[in-house]
Amino acid sequence: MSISNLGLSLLVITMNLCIYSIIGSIIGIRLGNSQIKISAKNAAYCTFFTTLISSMCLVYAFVTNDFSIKYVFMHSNLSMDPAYTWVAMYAGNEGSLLYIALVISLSILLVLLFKPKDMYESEPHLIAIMSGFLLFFIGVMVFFANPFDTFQTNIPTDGRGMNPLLAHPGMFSHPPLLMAGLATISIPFSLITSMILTGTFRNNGLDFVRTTSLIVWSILGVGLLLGSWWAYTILGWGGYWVWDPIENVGLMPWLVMTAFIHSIIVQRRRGMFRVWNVLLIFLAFVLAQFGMFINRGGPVVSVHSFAASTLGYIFLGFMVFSALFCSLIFIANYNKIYSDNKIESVISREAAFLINNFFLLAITFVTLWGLIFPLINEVFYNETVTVGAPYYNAVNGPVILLLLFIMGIGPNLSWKGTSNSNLKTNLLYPSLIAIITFTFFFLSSNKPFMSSLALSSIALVLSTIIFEWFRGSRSLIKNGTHWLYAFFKLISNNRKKYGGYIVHISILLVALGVVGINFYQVKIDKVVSVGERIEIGNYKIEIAEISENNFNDRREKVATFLILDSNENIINTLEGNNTFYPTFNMASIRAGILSSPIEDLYIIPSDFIDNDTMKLIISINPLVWWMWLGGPIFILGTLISLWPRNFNKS
Amino acid sequence: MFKKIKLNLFILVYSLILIGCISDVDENNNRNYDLYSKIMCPVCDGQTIGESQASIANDMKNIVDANISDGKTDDEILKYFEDRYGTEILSAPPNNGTNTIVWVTPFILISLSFIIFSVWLKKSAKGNS
Repeated sequence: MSISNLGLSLLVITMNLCIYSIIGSIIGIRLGNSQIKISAKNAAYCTFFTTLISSMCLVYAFVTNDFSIKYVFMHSNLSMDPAYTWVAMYAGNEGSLLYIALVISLSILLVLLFKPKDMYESEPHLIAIMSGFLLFFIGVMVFFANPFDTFQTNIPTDGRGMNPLLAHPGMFSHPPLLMAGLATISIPFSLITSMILTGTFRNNGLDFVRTTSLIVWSILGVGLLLGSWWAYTILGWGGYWVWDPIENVGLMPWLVMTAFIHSIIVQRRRGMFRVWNVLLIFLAFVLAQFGMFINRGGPVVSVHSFAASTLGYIFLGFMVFSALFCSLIFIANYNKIYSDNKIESVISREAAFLINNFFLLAITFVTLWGLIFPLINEVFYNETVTVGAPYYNAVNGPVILLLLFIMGIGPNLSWKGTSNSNLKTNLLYPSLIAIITFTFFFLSSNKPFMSSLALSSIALVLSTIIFEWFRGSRSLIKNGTHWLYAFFKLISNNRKKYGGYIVHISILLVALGVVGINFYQVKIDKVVSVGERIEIGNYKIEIAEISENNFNDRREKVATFLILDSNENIINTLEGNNTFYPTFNMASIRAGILSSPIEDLYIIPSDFIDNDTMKLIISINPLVWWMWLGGPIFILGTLISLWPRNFNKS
Repeated sequence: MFKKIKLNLFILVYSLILIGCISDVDENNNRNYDLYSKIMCPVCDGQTIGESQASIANDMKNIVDANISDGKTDDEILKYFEDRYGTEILSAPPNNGTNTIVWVTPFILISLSFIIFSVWLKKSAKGNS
């Protein structure tokens, strides 16, 4: 049996396992028969192993260069770096569906294994919903997009190769994380839906929902940031963030999930916002399906969607189905989820969470609106327009600032309401710092109002967190504890809260990078020859060498730059390359970057004119380094906040 | 009294630190690049001429540069490209005609829903206390 037959057979088996576990769960629920329920659960477990082996077949085909499989032929070739053959599986449409199916089946397995024991009532419903979700992806592969499709005759000896823009270290992390993040939003969604259906939407279940949501949310967040980093190092993607439709559809579910992980804290603490939380997770799920639709041959042009495919309609259909499913569940069970508890004060922590939710949804709305407006305009007014970065920066910018502001105020408020004197002491220093920052930046430079406002908001949030830490550990220090120990003790005593603050700090770092590059970037372009020097900021740049290497699938032009400081001392050498792939008629340009916490020197070898002349675009990007530092800190904060409470005791 | 002095001292120190940080921030010289990012590359998928390396994008950048040296304003330069390639050449729609909708809708909807939201918040807080 050939590897392609094995792979496809396993997909068909998985499909049947899904159908079995859905029907079995439903019959089990109807008859109240626990034997059938267990059998259905076992089938759901099995889907992971069949999907895993099927995925391994595809990876094996890539690693062994089996070009009889069309998908391998399309996305690999002999001259490709072998490391990429291990990940080329998700380089195209069909294989990425298989990858998503693998992630979903793994999440079914993990959820069933780690779910709290007392959530047994909703388990069959959970299995039916998650298997249904998996069934969709497996079904699409079996009937419309088979990754194991083979050439019957004329088996090619070499493949066409992977899209050159994907040959980058980012390929190992960004696509799998982003796709996994979008796919696994189904976990909290299925958990909550199954609890609603069985009327068991209670606190113990909610804790598990929080854990899974945080994991999913951080996977998606890290995926987005890695995408940003990738785009920053390669010119083809167009900068760290350009509000491209595909970036936007990944961002929207993340924003809604951000709102969700904040507002479930309120449900946990105060029993409020139940209806709201259900709406948020439904919205996040539908937006994730919207993302899958736009990604696979949706109606908008983007530099990085999968090649146009007919799958668009199927995914559109599934998105509409998800939306209808959610609405039905919501309307039919509204009485079960409605909660009586009301807000007690406008100046309270819970109100701040609501306002945070409001702004997050506002950003989501603007992003969605900008994405679909060209379609509306084309249908109704027959005029094509582009809605790109300038629009989002102008409209979303101020809303993001307001959100930052709430990040600074919110943590100073207490549950149920805050007394005026408390608020004054908590906010005194942070707001002073913010006001000074604003005045200073506003007066000292000709930068727009917005950049001063952004920097002062960042100062407000950061100082709020630092003062909160300071206040918290002061009482411990007074009892004679060393300040460093007190600091760690404080964090470990309330991991959820301080983990959250650490995540806030990481968001501030990202914001700092955004402000640096958007408002303080300096850029020049120049045609230069080998040996010539260019000055920018405190740097002098000299082209040391231009070389050319030819490979089977690509022509690589590499420029080596000497970087000197103002005293003519060589501080570094950088390399930038411009690689042309004739098969794809596509060039991939890698920038030379000298990074430091203060600023990045960023050299793009824009055009190689002849053997010793080239066009360079050089920029100084202040503070971008902090944006990438935000990634590890984001992960650290999420981990601290997820760390089990009784870990020390065991 | 002591508290007041502490506060003043605090403000002073903080301002000094800031002055130290900002003294060598460069002035922005990016007018060309700002314009590049406002014009789409006509042959690329969703890239501006600033991002694209297509030859037509390079030609268009040269036209922008030439127009800037001729002393044209940003609006005139953008109009030049809009007249030749249609509105879709601009990376954000101009605020006129039917395109006003794209700019105005978020503003109206967000402010309106914020008003409703805050009235609801106040009411439900009052009803409870």
